[in-house]
Amino acid sequence: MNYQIELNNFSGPLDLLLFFIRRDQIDIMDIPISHITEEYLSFVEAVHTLNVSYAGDFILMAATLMRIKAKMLLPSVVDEEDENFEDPRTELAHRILEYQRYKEAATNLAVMADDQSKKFQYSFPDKNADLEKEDPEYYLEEVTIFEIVNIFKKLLDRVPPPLQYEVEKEEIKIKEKIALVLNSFISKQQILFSELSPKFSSRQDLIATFIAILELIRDGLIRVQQKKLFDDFILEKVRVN
Amino acid sequence: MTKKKISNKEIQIIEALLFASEDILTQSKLNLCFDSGVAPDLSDGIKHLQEQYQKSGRAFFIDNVAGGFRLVSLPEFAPWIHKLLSRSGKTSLSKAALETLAVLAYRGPASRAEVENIRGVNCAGVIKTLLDKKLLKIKGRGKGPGRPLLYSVTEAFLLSFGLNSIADLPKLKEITELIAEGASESNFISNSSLSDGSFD
Repeated sequence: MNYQIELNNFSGPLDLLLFFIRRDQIDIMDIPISHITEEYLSFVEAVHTLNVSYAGDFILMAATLMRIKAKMLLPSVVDEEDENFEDPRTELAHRILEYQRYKEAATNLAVMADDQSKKFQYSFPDKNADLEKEDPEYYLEEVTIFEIVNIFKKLLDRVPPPLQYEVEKEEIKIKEKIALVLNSFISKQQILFSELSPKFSSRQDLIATFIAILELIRDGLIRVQQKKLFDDFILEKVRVN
Repeated sequence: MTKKKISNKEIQIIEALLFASEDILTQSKLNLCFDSGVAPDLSDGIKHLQEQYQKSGRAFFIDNVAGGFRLVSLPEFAPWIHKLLSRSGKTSLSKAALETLAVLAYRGPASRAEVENIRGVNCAGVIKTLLDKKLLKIKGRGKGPGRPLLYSVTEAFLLSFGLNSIADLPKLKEITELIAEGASESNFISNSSLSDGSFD
């Protein structure tokens, strides 16, 4: 079979099916599925060697057609509820019709664009405008998110790759800190928080110690007092009776 | 605002603004050119000018498009202008682009998946091109899974297709209409170049 039709003339598989339907004067609600599938396949075969990405959508439709064909070959089990019987072709017919609506709208748009392109607006070669365009807001007006993302991406590409840092994770256990705080009470009944601080090696260490103190307070093992706001505070061991 | 009769001077000012304006002239732009509250009614002025042009047989008229007005030459003079500007006058939009625009003009804002569902083809490339041409814009994100980007047509779209607003699009045909048409068309051979070949 030699078709003098190029697939590029069709904007997609639905367009191609619509073409067959019109050419063969097929009733869209009663598509002869095996005939159409055959036509369609011989057509697509010629193409899929040419343009892989484009052909993908056509191959998907081929699979859909074959599935419908297979469904129609299977004897339908229930014939009693004839009203609920769903023709496997209905969904496809509706998709083609829906597509046809927009295809026709697109044709209308083409005519409208053509009409519009026949009107010419006087464009003033405004040399002064460039000089006046210094208001930064002027540039912001017409930029879309898409463009911003694009620019950002370009910037990112220009940034040199980050140096590799290896950060070692320091293991600080709250339990150890609790023991440390309790140990400080061995010789005395009260200690100042600031007395503990020289032992801190890092910020994390300090935070862990603070959490340890909170734990001890909750468990009722120590009490905390402060003379005034932001002052050092006194830790006092609670006597266990 | 109480309506007062537009003066000759005001009509002339509007004409001058239309003449010098790079894009469309709107009431809000006109307001900026006058002290607050004293700007004349734009559509009033346009009506007067339109009448004058028609009566005196000018080669230009005022086009009401994208919610504003612009002064353009009459379409019948396009062939000469094309020669002057050495342009072909062919619109450069592909079938795929027009279909995508059609779906988004009627159904937008919509996601890429919705467009692809109707068209039955991947639309990523077309949408990108149309974004670059500023005929489409990103309108936000949808509520569905993955919160897909939603696209809609722009003011530039209205301008290129001569629409005053989206509401001015010709009505989409109903599916039932298409079925009826298909039935009446069945004894009408449509495509001449292809109809005679034997396909068996």
